[in-house]
Amino acid sequence: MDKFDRLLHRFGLNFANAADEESFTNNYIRSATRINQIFLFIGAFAYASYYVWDGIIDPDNQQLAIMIRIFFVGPILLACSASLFFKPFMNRVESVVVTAGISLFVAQTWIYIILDNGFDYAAMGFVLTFLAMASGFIIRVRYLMLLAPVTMLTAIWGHVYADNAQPGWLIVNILGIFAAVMIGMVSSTIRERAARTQFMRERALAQSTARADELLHSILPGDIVERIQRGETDISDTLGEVSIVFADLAGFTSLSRRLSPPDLIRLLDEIFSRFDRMAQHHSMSKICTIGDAYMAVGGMSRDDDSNDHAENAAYFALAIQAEIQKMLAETGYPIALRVGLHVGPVFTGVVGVRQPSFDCWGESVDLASGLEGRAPPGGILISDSAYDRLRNRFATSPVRHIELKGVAGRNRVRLLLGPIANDRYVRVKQHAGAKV
Amino acid sequence: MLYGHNRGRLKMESSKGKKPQRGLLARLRLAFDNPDIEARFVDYYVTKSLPVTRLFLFVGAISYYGFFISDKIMDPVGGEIAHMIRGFAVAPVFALAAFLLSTKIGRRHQESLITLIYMVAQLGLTLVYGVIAHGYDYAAMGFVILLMAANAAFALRTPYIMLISAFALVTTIIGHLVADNARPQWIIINILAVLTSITFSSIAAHLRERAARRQFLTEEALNTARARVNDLLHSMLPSYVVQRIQSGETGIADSLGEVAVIFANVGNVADPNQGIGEAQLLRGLNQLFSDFDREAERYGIDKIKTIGGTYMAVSGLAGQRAGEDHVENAADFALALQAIVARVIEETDYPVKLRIGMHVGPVVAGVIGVQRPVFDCWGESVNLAARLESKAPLREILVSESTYWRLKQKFDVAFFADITLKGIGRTKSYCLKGRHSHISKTRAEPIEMSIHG
Repeated sequence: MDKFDRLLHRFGLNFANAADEESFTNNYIRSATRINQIFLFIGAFAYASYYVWDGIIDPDNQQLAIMIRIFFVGPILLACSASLFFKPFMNRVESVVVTAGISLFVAQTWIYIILDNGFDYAAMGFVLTFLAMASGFIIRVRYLMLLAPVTMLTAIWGHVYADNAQPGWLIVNILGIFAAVMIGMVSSTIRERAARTQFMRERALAQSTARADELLHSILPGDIVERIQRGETDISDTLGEVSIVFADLAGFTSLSRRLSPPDLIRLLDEIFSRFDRMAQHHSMSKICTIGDAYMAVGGMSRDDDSNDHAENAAYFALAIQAEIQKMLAETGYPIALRVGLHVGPVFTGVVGVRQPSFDCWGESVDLASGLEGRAPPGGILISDSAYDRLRNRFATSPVRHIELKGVAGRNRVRLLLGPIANDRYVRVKQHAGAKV
Repeated sequence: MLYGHNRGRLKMESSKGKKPQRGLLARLRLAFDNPDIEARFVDYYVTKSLPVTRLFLFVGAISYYGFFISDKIMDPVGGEIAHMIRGFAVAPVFALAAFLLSTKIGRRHQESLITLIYMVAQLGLTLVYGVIAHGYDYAAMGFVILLMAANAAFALRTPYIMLISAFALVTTIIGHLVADNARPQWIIINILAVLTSITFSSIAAHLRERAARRQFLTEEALNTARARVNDLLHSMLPSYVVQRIQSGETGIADSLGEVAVIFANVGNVADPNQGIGEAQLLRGLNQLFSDFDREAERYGIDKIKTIGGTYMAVSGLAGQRAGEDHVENAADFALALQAIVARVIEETDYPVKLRIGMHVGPVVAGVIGVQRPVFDCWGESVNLAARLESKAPLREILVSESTYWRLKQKFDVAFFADITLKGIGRTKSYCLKGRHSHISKTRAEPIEMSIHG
């Protein structure tokens, strides 16, 4: 930041961050291009129409003044206005406006030199022109700061050169024009500062809103959020058939004794973020993490018509097993994953008013959790109903009859080994193997 | 609030094109339809500008007076009277206005006050140019500067700007005709100049007010959004964690030596054998858990999460509450949950199940995920508490041996059994029955005892 930028910054007319400044300028100036263009166009005709004044001040030289207004200022303003249709000029809209402004002050000086006793009345012309520049056009104060000395200097030089005013009138002119310059600068500063505040605030608003939505979506599934925002309360659904996957890190508790808390949490964070990506890739909804356990459900979304949630869940289970194998190779931490997969009905809903959480209940959940509990480290244990959905496409171990925690009776379970022959498996492996 | 139902409410009520039948004048007025919002906007736009208004009143008074120099150059004799008008008639009004702005009534009517000052100053100028020889040959410049200055310096809403503009035009014409000290055609110059400045100052004021209204709406929306983020964070994480995150801390991970971990399971809520609708079950669960939440708050205990029908809470995460013991609080909390379930059973006849497990020991507590922060606790203590919950007899509180030693002074804790817990091995377990009857729950008693002692 150079000295000038620092000065502007002190008056709140420059952002400390160059990227912010650039983005603000683009925003502010782009939104102003059309307004500036229209004012330049109208200005050409308005300026010409003020020949009426010239006639009143000095009818004899009015003709010459009209020529200046029509053939000097008019084309410049119209050209400036037209140039704003073209990109290179559009990007420099402030310079275009300043150019038009300079031409106005030159013409103004010229006219008052020509008119008899012109500089007796010059102040008003300069005052109006500067105020029009400051309030009609949208340019940053730094550009108006170029026009301010132009206004003062052309007026003073013209006054001294023409020498057609009453004695002492120079002070009247300077006082009037200086007052106008100050007023114009103040109002432009107020406007620009307001625009800058607004720019930052809108950005903060967008960030906060996005953050709030992100947080909300991280606690509740998207369609549930929509239903709540539509005003629905007591949200609960019975889903006839979903695929539930429970995954638990075996050996994590003993690891927790050996790793420092920050390392432990970083590790868990890394594992679960990878799981999250896998879940998204295989259209599974993450329900929650419980300590070192991860629960995801497939077939939850009402919009999703595809019936292969069991297949998705199987691929997901295989993918996270592969992922853990990979992490084991990378880090050497003695961790292994036990996975349980079951297909069955659940009852879902939002529980908690102040701390809402989305959850699933039902025997199916207990069964999936029980399967995970009995799965060997590195293995995926599936229930009989899951087997029915997967038997044609996946290889499994022979059936075993075991008791599961929280579930009455003996259950027929199998280990899921992998897809029989399917190009999707290759994709899963590629995805799991891809550097993420 | 939490879910953002109200998003866009302010936008809807803003003046932007929602009512096509409104006339041009009403649309130019810009005002919000809702008078409450308009009042808040006035407070935001006008009342907050008070320091700036004061400053510009001061600058304005000096400048207004200072222009007597111009008057004297134009006409040394008339300039003297003009000097008197500026100095003794108008400047005191500025001072009076500045004083009034320090009173409550003045502040409430800031815009009217500014409009009145403008009118006095404009009338003063009309007189000044009347007494100066050929004054109305030069009057336009003064009128233009005064009008533009008033519009640039003060935060006025459109109706006031309109009032000021009309006043400027009318006084210019009347002044010119009454004073009759200008060349005849000069009235055209004066009117043209004042009209030009009215045009530009109105455009500028209009743009400024529109920008301010947009800014006001954005700020209100921003406050709402920030509050929502805050609410959401508080709904996801314990307060002490939210505070640490908001003070910029990342990678929150604490190793805590002694916390009490509680698991309370109210059974499989979706038990199909109960013959109750699932929505009704969920409502019941919601009610039960919010009762649990209330007790947690009362005893300074952090709810970690609910997992199906299991409620997990930890006591002692954020340090001790003054004069309290977090393990005793946890025991009281567990007993309170028991009481809640007993009451629900009595009231509804619905056989709510309840099993509670509690253990005191070390845990690692922290936040995983930055974008999607989840707070949790890890460690053997968590597993142990969960296993105790699964082994607890119906509607009993099963606690570990370490918990027994911490509680036996003040609580009734009975040996339950030697149990084998998966991954932990054989361990003693105890049932928490209640507080010792001879030690009251009130905290006043130990102090009384110490006085007697």
